[in-house]
Amino acid sequence: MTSVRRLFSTLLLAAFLLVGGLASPAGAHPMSTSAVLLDIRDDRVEGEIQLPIDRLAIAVDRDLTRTSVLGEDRTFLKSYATQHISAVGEDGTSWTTTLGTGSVRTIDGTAHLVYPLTIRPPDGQVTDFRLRYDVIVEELLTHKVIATVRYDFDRGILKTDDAETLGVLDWDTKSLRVPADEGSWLKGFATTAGLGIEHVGEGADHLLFLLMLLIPAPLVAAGGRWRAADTSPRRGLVRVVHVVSAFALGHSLTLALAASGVVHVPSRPVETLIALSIAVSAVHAIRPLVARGEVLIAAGFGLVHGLAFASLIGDLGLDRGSLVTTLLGFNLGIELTQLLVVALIMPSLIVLARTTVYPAFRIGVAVIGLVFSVSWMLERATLTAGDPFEGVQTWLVGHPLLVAGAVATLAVAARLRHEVPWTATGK
Amino acid sequence: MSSHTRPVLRRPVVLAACLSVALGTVGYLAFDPGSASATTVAKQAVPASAARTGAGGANTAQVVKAANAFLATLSDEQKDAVLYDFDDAAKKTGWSNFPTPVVERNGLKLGDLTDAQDAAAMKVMEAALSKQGYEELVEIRKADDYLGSLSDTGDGSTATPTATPTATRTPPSGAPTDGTGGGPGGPGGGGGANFGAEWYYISFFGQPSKTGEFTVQYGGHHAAYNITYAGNNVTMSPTLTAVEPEEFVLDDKAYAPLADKRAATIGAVQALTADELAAAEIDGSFDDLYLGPGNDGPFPTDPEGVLVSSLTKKQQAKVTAMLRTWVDDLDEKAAARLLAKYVSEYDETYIGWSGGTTIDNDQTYVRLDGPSAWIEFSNQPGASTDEIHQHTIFRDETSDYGWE
Repeated sequence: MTSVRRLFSTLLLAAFLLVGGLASPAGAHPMSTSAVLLDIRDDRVEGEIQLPIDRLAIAVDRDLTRTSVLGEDRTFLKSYATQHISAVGEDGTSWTTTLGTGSVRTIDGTAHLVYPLTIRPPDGQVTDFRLRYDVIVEELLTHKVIATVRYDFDRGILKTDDAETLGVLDWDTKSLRVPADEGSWLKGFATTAGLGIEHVGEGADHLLFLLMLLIPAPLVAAGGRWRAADTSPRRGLVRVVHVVSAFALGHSLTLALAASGVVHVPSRPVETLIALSIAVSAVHAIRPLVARGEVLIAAGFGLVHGLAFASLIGDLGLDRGSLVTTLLGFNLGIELTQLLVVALIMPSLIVLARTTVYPAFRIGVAVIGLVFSVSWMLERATLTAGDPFEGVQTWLVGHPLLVAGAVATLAVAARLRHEVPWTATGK
Repeated sequence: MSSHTRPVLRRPVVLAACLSVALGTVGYLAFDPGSASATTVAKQAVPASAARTGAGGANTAQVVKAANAFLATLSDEQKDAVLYDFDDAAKKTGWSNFPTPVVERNGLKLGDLTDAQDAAAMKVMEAALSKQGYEELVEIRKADDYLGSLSDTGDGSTATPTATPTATRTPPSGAPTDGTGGGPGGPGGGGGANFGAEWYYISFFGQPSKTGEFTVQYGGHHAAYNITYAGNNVTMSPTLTAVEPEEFVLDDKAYAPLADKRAATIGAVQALTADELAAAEIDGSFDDLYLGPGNDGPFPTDPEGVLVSSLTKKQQAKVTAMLRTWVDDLDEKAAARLLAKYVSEYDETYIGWSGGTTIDNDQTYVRLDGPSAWIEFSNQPGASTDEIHQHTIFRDETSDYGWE
């Protein structure tokens, strides 16, 4: 019964925070709740505690203001908070809990005193542990503290995901078990792969770039023009494999370099460069820029795209220990999605390339790609305020099967009516 | 207005339904209950615990009649939505004073009902409550309308009044400043839709019957009633009543719901002597209800405060007056019996306070804790207005949610 109630109040508070943040129910009771956020790592647990200053004032029976909590009340409050937090390992040993330097932050419209928190097991081995916490709650009995795990690689909780609510600490519950020794690297690996899939699958720019590279793949460049290849479709396929591999190689390299901190490039220029990469590949799809250019373009711009992926990896706040796993998982997700896109669209393109419709199709799609990419470039270079094509792009990305189906239908229809005889091609 | 024709059409239906219910009941009573299949509901026996802890005097028949009349106005689909099993977990979780998008309420939303259905639903509450209790319910509903109207006009009235970090502030003012200013109550636009008379819900747990056990659950933002019947026993535990603002004018009429509860509670606490007050202070601070929605216990095992039986007759009368303002919300006869029961427990009943004992202190918290009766009165800084307002809860420890 108690656990049901606990679950309920947890859900309730989580929902409240969510709704409070999003829907802003006017006049809703601004529930000043505390929060404990935990990042589970291999050798320590980090995180922060967020204390609403108005509730803290009631609990310690002092006048507190945004300035006083960092000024005259600083030492008192830190020792007060420290005294009311502790952690005990499964074997009963107490772990050290340390609070960092406090700061004031406005959360949900209310001023909070925020302390960084570090919990270290004596043997440097994080296992399941019990967090004892009654800051504010020990005095203000109607106060609630929401405890969440913000990051735990082995359980697949990454910072880009919603944090997992552990429970609510209150007058009745002053300690919580923190599952810190569950899951495995495989779970984290799968989650990062999922993120990679998600990132490419929802990223209109990466998909468009890929498409621009694929369009000319079944053709050969001759005399500054695209011509239908005179060999078997297998040849086209091989070229596609080259393109995809070149791109993968490029982005893997920079992804690894950027994620490990070797190179660091601000994200805006990278984003602009990605838009440029699409524009260049679109132009290349209209008129070949260099012979076998798509492989070169793919490799070169793969390097740029890798930097963009890396910025996402950075957001995950990774341990060095799991960096390799993360990179592999994330990359795997990206490759899988790319292969899926290729599998969905390439057969249609190979069939289409053997029809008289293809030049019109190729140029039409390339022009659309060019328009999109130029619009992105302007937006990302902050020359324009917004992207007028965003709605269309969102729709297209949201309906991949419809798009692939449309191309396939076109391919079938074109093959029935406008097939170019095998012998007439090339020469 | 299509609703104009509906009552005309519905009346015969309602009549027929009432008649059939009446016939069914007569039939059930006339024949062997064991073989009655049409009224399986009535098979539920009155739990023995109800007899142990209830005080009798419930007007169950009237409530059942009103409930059946209301049910008869509903479509089959609506009936499905309004009726739950008696022990459905939703009974405990689906009531709250939080905005409805946060806690999904049970049953049917009054705002979705036709005028006739809404009126029939209110008749159920009118039957269950005393005249005073029903008036209070109606006024709290109006108060929510008033709150809703505040946000509709974009008058958030909470434009971070004193957000400047001045170093000198009186103790409790820290709370209202950030509480009101920082709340999500700003001109979010349309958020006011969560408050108002239409955002009230009604549901039944267990089929209403004169002999079986069933709960009438009714509530919205600042009110939540859980009234359980078992034969001639009744409990209204838990019942949350609250109001913001304390007083308001709506359509040229002035309202002050909970005025009696405020006056009686402060009166009872302030009747204590300085020594008694010192002894009656409860450990800890409270900025809301201790056993509010989602917190059904445990009731504290060591009651805090001063023993009511140790007080003078005059002081005890004040405590009784306080207790009465909650208990008397229930239909008169049952309320009188319950009150007598609670008063008879004064040698184990405590009254205590925390934070403050005046009505204008947003920390003021008063609690009455008996072996059965449990009352909390909590002053809060304004959420939608700048004014202090109250949340209160009444529980009966021996019959919370109906003798569980």
